[in-house]
Amino acid sequence: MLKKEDLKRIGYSYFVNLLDVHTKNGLKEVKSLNLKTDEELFVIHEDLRKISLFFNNDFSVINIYLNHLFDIDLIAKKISNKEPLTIVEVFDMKKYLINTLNIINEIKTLDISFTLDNPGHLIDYLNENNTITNDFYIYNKYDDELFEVRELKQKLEKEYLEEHDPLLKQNILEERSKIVKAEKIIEYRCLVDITEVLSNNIDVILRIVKNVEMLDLMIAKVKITKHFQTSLPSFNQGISFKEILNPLLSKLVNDLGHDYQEIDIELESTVNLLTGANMGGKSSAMDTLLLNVILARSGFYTFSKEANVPYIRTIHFMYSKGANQSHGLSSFGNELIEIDKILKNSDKFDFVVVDEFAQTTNPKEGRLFVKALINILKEKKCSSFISSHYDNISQEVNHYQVIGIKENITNMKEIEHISKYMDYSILKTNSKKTPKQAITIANILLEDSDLLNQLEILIRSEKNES
Amino acid sequence: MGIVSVGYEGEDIDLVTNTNKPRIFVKKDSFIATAKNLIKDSDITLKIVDNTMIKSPLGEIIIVKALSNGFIKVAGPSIVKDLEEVVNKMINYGAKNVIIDGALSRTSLSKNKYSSTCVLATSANLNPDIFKAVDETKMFLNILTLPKTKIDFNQKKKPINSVDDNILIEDENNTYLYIKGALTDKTVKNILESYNATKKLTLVADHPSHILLSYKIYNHLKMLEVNLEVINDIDVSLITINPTSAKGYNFDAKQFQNLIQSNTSIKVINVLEVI
Repeated sequence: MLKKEDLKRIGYSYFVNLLDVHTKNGLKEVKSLNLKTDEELFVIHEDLRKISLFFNNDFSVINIYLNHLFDIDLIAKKISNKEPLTIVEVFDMKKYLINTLNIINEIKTLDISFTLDNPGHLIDYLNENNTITNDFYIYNKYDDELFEVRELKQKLEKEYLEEHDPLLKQNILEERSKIVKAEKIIEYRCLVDITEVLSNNIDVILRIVKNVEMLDLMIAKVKITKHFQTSLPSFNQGISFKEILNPLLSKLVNDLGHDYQEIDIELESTVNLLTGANMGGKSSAMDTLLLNVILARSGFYTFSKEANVPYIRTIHFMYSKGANQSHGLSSFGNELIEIDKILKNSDKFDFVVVDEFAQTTNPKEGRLFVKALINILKEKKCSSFISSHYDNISQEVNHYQVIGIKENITNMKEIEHISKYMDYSILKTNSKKTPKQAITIANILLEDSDLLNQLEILIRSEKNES
Repeated sequence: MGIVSVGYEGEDIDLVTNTNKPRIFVKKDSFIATAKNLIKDSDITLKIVDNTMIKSPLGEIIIVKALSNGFIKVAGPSIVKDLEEVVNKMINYGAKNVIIDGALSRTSLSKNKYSSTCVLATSANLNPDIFKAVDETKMFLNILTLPKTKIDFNQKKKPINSVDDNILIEDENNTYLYIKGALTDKTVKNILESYNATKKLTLVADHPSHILLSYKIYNHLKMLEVNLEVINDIDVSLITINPTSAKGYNFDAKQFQNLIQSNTSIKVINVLEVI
């Protein structure tokens, strides 16, 4: 499965930040990357559609309740352990239950796959009488002696204020201290009883917490659809997306003042090879695809106009880390170990994504490594997406090319503006060759450069030789 | 009544000076903002009204309503923005007046934005010499009650130098200098070094809480007849004196009260006489 750095690279961490999830466990579920079966996704999609229709564009009321959701894990744990709650904890529990009731009332017409238990009986128990109040104190109703003790306490307080003799005042204070102590003992006894009642209902409480968190997550999923073009995927053979987008990359491109180009991707359930020019968007396409495949199979909307992603057991991802070193191995050494592990653990229900494997070694050997990788994945019948810029590795695989530099571009002096001159579309091709656009890019990026002059001499000499 | 403190109040012994402290007595129906961990130490019957979720070292700040008279420990938020939130909440819950227990180092809380009036509390603790204690109290009182300036500094957009954004306005006989930020001893020394004494100088601060002058420099300005004014003035409605010191000495209560009262029209009361 993907590591933290992989999730950051493909824009999943950015996506998590975009989601307006209020509950801790809702966020935990988002971060768990729990890939679902088709049956599980079917149920989730049904719920999402109902929630989406119900809220349409107005989340204002539900937002108020969701904003008031706070973490009651510790309180629930204390209740489970029958450890007496403090008065503030009982107040927090009551507030949480009232908030749940408000949410239930808000969505009561929704027929979704998880039901929110009505906590009305618990709220009643935590109210002084039949009226729901947002405050809490240890009511006299909890203990027969409490009323009597409190009456006595108030009587002494009145006497204290009316008394002028310091000695008598002191006596009253001492008497009051005894009563305060008695009141505290009874209040503690009440808190033990309240905890007991709540612990008898702990299953209901835990179910409410779990389902409120699920609802919170579902609503967060729906809310994000108001800001992007999204779709729920179907589960047929072959991964395909129409007008796919990556919110992180889209933001980076838009921040530079350019338009983000949505692309179409259609893969077959076998090895798919992607080639293209340097800076042509191969890695961006892979990151975008991977992000949306994860979203599709984890029960989220995808950032696309149309999506189809069949069942995936596990996703394996490896990208070239360039010349970095870690654990005393070169980047190539690390890649070998990582690829070997992926190949040993993958099967036909897995999706393998490998970006520029063996790019740091010499091209002759590098090509062999990539071909070996492709052969093993084909044998394993693994659905995969491999990017490379080596030639002659595309036999019997689906070969796709990023179009790259648009025609008639001759003057591009600012590298940050390169996206203006690129076409990031992906086209299926029968060619065995990878596009040669590095020299074209050098030509339009560099001016009066020794490197460029030397390149031209070499190109001419190679042409003459051939 | 609502009660909130910027510090920790109500303990029997002062944690800093290790001296006895009076406990905080609240009447039935008061609202109190205090830290979660201090609630168990109160002897009032209390109702939890709100968990503000504002963090403090002693747990979240909880707003409680007293259902009986009694003693309570109070620890409030340390950030001014949080304090404002707590005050507003107590007013919304029904408190007609809210007392913010401030500190000399936190006079910024006396801004109109947070509070409508200010009570200056002084005591024998300030200085064992009654006259010095009175003089220091007078200085604090004078700063807190500085007059609102009549000069509109917004008319003059251009600062006299780009570093500190101070604004200078002059007429035939007067120089008015608006000091952006704190007016400290160092600022005053710098100003006086470059000041041409032919005109009468008035230093204007944004708010009394921005005037952080030592007793010595404050008196020096008085000798030079330099005026102090503020853009935003505050209302001081009461002065309380405590003639006893936790350090073990007492002032003559009447003398202390009279000496302070002789300098101001604001009512001065002895806290020991109203308990």
